[in-house]
Amino acid sequence: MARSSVALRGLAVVAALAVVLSGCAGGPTGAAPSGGGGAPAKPTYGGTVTFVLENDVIDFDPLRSRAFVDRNAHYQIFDSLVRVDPSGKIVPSLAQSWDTSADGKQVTFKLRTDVKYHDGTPFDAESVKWNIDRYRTTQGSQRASDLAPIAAVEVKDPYTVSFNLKAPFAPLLATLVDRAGMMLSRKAVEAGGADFTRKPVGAGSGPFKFVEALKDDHITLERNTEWWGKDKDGNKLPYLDKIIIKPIRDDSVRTTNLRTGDAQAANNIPGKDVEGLKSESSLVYQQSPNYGFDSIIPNRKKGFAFEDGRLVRAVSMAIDRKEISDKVFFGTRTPGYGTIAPSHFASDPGFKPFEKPDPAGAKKLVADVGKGPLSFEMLVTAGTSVDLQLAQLIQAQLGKADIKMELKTLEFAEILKLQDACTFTGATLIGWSGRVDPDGNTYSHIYTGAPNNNSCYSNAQVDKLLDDSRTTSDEAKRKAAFRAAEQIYVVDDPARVWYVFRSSQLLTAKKLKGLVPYPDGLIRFDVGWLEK
Amino acid sequence: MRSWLRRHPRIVIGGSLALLLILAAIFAPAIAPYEPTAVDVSQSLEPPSGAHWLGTDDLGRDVFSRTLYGSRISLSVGLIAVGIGLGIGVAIGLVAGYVGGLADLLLMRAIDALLAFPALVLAISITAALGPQIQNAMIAIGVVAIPLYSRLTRGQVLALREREFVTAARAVGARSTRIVARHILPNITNPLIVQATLSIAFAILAEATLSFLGLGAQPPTPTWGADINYSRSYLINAKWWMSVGPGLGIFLAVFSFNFLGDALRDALDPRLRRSG
Amino acid sequence: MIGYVLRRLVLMIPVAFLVTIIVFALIRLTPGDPVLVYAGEEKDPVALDALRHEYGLDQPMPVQYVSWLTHAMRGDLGRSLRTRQPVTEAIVERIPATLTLGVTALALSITVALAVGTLSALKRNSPLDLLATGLTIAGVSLPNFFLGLVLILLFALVVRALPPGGYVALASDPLDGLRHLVLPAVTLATASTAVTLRQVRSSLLDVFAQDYMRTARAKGLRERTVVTRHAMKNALIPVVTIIGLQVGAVLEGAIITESIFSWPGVGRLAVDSIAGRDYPVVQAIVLLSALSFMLSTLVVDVLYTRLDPRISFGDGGR
Repeated sequence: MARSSVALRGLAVVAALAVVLSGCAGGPTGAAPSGGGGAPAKPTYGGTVTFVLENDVIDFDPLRSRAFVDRNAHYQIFDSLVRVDPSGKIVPSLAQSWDTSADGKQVTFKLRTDVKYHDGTPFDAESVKWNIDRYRTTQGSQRASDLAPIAAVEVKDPYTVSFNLKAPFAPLLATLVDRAGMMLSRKAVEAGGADFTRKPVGAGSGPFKFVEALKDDHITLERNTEWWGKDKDGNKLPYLDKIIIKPIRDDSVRTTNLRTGDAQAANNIPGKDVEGLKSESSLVYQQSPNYGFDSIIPNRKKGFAFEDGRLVRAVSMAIDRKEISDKVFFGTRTPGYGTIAPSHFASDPGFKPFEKPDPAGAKKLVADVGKGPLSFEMLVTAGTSVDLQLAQLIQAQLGKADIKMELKTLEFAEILKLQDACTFTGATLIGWSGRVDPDGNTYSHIYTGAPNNNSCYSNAQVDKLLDDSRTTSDEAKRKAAFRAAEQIYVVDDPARVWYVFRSSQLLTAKKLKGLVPYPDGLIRFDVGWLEK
Repeated sequence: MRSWLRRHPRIVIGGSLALLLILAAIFAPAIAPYEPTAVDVSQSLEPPSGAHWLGTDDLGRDVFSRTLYGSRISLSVGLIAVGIGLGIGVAIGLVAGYVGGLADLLLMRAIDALLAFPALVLAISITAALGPQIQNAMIAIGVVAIPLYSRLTRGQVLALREREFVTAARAVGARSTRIVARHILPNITNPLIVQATLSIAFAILAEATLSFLGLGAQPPTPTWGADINYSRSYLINAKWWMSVGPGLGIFLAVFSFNFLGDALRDALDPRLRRSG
Repeated sequence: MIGYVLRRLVLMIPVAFLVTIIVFALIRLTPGDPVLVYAGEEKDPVALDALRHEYGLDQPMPVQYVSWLTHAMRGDLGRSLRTRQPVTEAIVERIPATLTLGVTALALSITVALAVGTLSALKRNSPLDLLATGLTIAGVSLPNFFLGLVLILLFALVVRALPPGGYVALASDPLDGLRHLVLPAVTLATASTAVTLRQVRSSLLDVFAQDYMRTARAKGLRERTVVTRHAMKNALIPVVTIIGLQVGAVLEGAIITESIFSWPGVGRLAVDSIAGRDYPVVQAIVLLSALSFMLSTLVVDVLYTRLDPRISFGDGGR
């Protein structure tokens, strides 16, 4: 896992990004990694941006955080050891460089020496050790499993720190991009006590400082004038004075806020609104591929409708992914075939099983299984119109193959419980926001007994391949393992029915410049600026 | 009867509207030009036209047909929920008012406890606890309506209990059930009819609200509240027709029962008019 | 009078106790696991079990009930499962938003109802009266979620004069606060305006028909004096009851209105917490609203008896 090899994985994304970005003339034209302004006009300092989010941030403490939306706030307040650039490449952040030992069991980081937390405490190797140990050992830590491969953290000198691993673990660096790699001021955390996760005052070192948060109303962040980041001309970042994050649950109200000028940025836009928003002269819409996917989860457990994997394949054959992508997502999600997204290094662009719907083939396969006509119950979250629309479309598509799918709406909380226990009778729908490394997209969904393996799937050969992909740091070997595994868990003995890959979206006011979508779908305001 | 109706034209108007609605619900399969659940994505999001009077939704389903079918859910919830509330509520009110004593005290405290909840919060909680299904929405709305009837009935019974014709019946040794059935119930029918009509309006509104929140009937079953929620996100894209059908449906149904209830109140029970 | 209030308060105790049982049973019977809801994509079983233990969700149900009740009686409503915020703080934080919306809507509806209702009664069967009576029944028949959406469409999207949602505290920016307040307040006020207006009109008409009104007119008092001095005062009695009931109705309407307009009030907190199975928050909100409901009924009854001396402090309608 040397730096050079990491660069490869971004290549595919860069190409794809360029394609999608066309059609938004006047908008940002893509930014240089970490700290590049990249816009044609000269950035100016100052101004306040209101960013509307689909849900309120629950936990500011990365140790506690569970919800995806939280990370939109984390990325402004905290710095991680490493970060990704808009192409998905892992690049330096608080760690200036890193090296992996020959046996793959020790990763050593050289740290920046000019970093201070917002409360004034300096950042150093001791701080890294304290943070990582806190994530690993605190009772109830949501990061403990991310960092489980680490046996010990060793401070070599004030700005050098080594992670000693129990066994080689290739995806480690990718997990340090996110919450498990975010560094917090010990003083601020200890001063915050039980309320720290709601009021992370002074704890970060990132481009913006936390000022205040009123639950379900707003979060205020202000410019960290002492941030270490610089733009490509060497000017200090960030440019913006203030960011106000407003949680607005209702999709249409959220986008309407941008139309009316009450907000300047959003990154979760319903597909059906995109067409209308593109025609708004005051707004710029950008979209690029990301790591997320959506899937139908059948219950593969013994005694349930999809015990026989061939029936899962029949469903996979019968559905029309293109129609779903067009009619439900309006092109904001693209037909998908598995867990490994086009932007992942392990992706094979040619891997498109079930590209065309084949209701006749599905019908024949169900007949071959010989258990009579296939009929199952699909659980859908009550009150969510996109899921309902999707389920009703799938229902109609499966009908063409004589597969009967009955819809049952339940409250979200109830569906989760059934999923977790694998006690739903037929199938449910689950999306995944995506992770930088394909391992993060695959292992926990597919490996026997893993936490997100909601289809209760188990295939010894797949487990072996996924283990292999973790222990070798050679990217070619990892890719080979992933390719072999995906063929099995998607086609030969399918764990789920994957139907779309997600896209990162960014909707901004035209006068808000410099922002680009990242493949993880999260926003970074460090290079954003307002045209006067 | 005819001359009575002539003296109360509002009853005729409200009654005809309600009747029209009931007929539409009964004959929906005959009137509706399309299957309400038939998906045809090639026809999605069509604006109103001769082929689709109220346009089509995102799955190409005919909005007019769905609105028409939606009346079936709304009306059956309205009638059944009110039936539940009326039946249980009147029974409780009769027992509490007629038997009195400890039974009265206990029953009325239980009713107070139900009344202590804001109606919608109670209905949402009950439906969530029982599971989001149309039957459970009926039960929840019915339970919420119970206190109304039991207090109304009890009040009337208390007022009647000491009246001459009841005391006389008791003096000649008539059994309680007979006294209730022969003397008390007939005397409280009018206020109950008025209240029930108004409650149907409330129940239809409550069902629409519950299904708007996703706690009503299961899709693809067409219901007004759920269809408005489903299509609200299209409203901002100027695809207004998806919401108009169900919105008008709720409005008309609630309006006609409110109007009828109001007219009945004026005609049958002038005393009630004062208390709004 | 004091005895009456005391008696009513004592009667409230068993009812309140019954309410706590209903609240607890209802929300705990609701299937679902809060820990899973808030887990998002992070489903490490060890971390989830640690959370269940931290929240006391691994205890038997009766133990949880008794513990909740004893804490609640001491004023400790626990912490939110979602945010770890003390529940009292979470509710108090949202009260300004809910009060702003509720009081504005109520003031709006009372003003409009009194003005239009009086005019409508004075000019009975005039076109204005017919329009007003028609609109009142229309007003109560329009679901507020549909009305809210239509208003957003018209005033935020077509005309673009007002924001489609969100809350700005009046204290921090009066003008912007007001702009945000208009649509939700109108949405919330519509139904109760209709109900109150109808009451104002019909009680004024009742009073006009009374003998003392004829006497007052016969005495040659000016029409203005007749209406304000005599009619209004007597007609107000039932109106007060209706307004009292509207306080409850407005709070209830706030649940939907707050959700549609992204208004960070108590109503929206309730809906979210039910969906997320945030037990401590739901239990507290439902309990508090039940208690305040009971108290406001008491206040209305007392007011009623004060305004109308004909009613004695008997056991009323109960």
